[in-house]
Amino acid sequence: MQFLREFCGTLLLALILMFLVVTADFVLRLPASFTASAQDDTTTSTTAYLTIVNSGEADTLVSLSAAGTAEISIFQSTGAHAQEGILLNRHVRVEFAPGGAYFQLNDVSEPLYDGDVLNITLSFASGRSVTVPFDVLAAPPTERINFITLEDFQFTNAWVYSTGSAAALQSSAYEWHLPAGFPLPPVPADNPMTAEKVELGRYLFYDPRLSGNGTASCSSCHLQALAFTDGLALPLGSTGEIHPRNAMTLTNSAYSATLTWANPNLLVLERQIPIPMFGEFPIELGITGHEDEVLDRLRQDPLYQILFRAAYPDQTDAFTFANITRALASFTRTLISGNSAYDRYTQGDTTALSESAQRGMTLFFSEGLECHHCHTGFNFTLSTVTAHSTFQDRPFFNTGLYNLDGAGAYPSNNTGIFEITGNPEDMGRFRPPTLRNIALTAPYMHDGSMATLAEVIQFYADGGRIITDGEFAGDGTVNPYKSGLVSGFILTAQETADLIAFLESLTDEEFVTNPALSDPFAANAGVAVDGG
Amino acid sequence: MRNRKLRILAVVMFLILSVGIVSAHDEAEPVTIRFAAMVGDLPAACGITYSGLGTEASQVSLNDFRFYISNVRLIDADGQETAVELTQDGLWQYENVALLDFEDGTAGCGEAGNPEMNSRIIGEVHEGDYVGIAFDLGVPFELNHLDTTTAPAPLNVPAMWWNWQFGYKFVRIDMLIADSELPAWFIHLGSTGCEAADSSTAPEEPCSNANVVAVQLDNFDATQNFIIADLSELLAQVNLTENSPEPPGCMSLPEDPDCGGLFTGFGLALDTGTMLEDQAQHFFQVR
Repeated sequence: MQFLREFCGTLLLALILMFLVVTADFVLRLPASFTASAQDDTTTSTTAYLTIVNSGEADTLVSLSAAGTAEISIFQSTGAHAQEGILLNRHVRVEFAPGGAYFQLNDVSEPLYDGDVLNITLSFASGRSVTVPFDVLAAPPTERINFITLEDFQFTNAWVYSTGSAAALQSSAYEWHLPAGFPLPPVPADNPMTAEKVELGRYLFYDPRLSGNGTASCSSCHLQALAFTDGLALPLGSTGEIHPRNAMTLTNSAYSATLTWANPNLLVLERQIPIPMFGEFPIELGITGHEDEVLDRLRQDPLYQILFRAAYPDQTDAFTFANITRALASFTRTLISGNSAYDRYTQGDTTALSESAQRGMTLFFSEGLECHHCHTGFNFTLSTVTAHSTFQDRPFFNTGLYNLDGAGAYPSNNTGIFEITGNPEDMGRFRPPTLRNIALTAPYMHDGSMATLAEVIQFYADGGRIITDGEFAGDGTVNPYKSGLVSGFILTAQETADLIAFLESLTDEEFVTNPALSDPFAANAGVAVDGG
Repeated sequence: MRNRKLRILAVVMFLILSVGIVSAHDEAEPVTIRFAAMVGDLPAACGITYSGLGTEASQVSLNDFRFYISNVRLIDADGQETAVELTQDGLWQYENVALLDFEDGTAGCGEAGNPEMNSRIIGEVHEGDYVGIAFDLGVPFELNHLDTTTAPAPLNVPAMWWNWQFGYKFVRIDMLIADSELPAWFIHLGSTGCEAADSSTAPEEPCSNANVVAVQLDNFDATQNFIIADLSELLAQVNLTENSPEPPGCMSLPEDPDCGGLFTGFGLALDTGTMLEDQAQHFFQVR
């Protein structure tokens, strides 16, 4: 039976192929996935499309060429490489379009951006040739574009699509210098890393001109010396509003499965970064209503003229918030920390950890304490995604910090992912943060309500927090939504000290002093930078 | 000219495909082995409360239900075992290990779960008349101490991993027991007694207590039967109302009082991590 089924399948495939043969003069519109599988979709690919109407005699399109491309290959709608060109019979219309036949641009040397025009010269067996302007577009044109004629030929809808846009085509692709044992972080295809974007992002990160009133920058709440936190329970926005949640460390946020404390839908930095820029509840950088003003401030600075042009070389006006976001995301992805005493110890330097820290490590990974269930792996958090990830793991846990009504309620401005999902069991569930550099990022918890690591360890030993009076009174240890992993344990004073010694060994001094991650304006104190 | 070329190409492709299928058919045939997770007569699912589990007929809800299977063999009437070559699908199966995943990341499974699920293993096996199946519940030592952050799927699930020293959780079934002082009850089966310098180092020698469950099931026909992983059978000897902390439930530690009845369900000797006897496990059955 099985054989018969497969035989029929094969026969069907053969029939489809036969059908293609007899109808090859009219291009079949196959599903996009058909040609996608024939192309290499793991790297940047640049493809060109065109419609040709031949109202004269037959001719063969032999080759295509363009400045800045090594070679342009012609592919038929079957996915076959038409090495000898493609025959255009008399009186036919041939469409090169997504899902059908296409031209592949190999080794494109210059980055291509939406809105660019690429001139491609088409050569025919008859000896004729024509240069057609191809629009670089992010999506197929919705109306007819680029009408060009050559004797009996008409050319329309000439356009170029590049996956990952300027992507790997950039001459100065960013070189990762990852700590030992660290996998590559995921990078969105539409914002590939380049050294120029990282550098622009670093300036923007530290620049208060990137706020509505010019008083605050990203670095106002994310200080390098404090592993990119601010040392406050709750941070202050540019206009003085208090944010309800503690400023998170940016340590290894390139690997964060979700971003911010509690949002299962926020998966990439490019989506998160606009929140502090434009958010109004609360106001952080407060750019909303000051968009043009902020862009003008940057545009007027000769330094940014250079940095934006370097980061986005083919755009006539690169001063856009989309470009600012891409640059900030690129810089944030470089905030990678993996050179702590603990790392040196695991790489063989047995002197890197004190006896106390080694005992603390054993406790940390023990089944008695359960720390490692939520703070696991190279990044000390279950909420980790890498370039190798295949499953959508987005963990959030209720740790029993509150229980206002005995039914599990958290303070109304801090309900965890319940705020997003509305599911009752999501009440009080927050993302487990990385523990790298944890000794530098006090105070702790999503609302900064614990001052020290000792206090945090006691809270987990108690299996939750009991608040006896005030507006937040309640027994968090019996919060019905509390994770079963927060079930309490007993430690001696020495064991608590050992555990703290281990957590302190996760501090990466190089990370918090690395000049490449530091304030470029401070480093360039002698260089004139126009304040705008 | 071009038309003839394409015709020839089509015929050649047809021949290649046909020959490929015929020759493959001579040696191996595809096989799908279907699993189902059950709690007695009910399908196991996140967010459902089940009653009558364990020696005290406890009420239980599920927060996780995943396990690794490896070394799958089909058995013929003479008792001869033939290995199933797992399809290397880049997601659920790697080498001879497969992840079966019955949680969908909803309700209580949202803590550490994900939306993806898998209830079957696929592969190829030499043609034959098979009447039984055998497999291991667990990850073989050679693959058990990888770094989950760089390991290939399905060995890249952080929630199914302890650390370098102890490797993967072969089974992760997280439960909440109603009306219990310590409601969380974890079944985390994995190797223990893994000698390494510390928890961040992989052991060089196999662990003293492998805790790999050798499963053998008779009267199994892959085209007709399911393999049922029945939580109520697994827990038959467990008193879920007694739960000693550090950790709640059983995380495979030989000294944990919560592990005794559970290991009986797995057919494992708690002190050695080996099978009590052949076909001693009560978790899996054919239906």
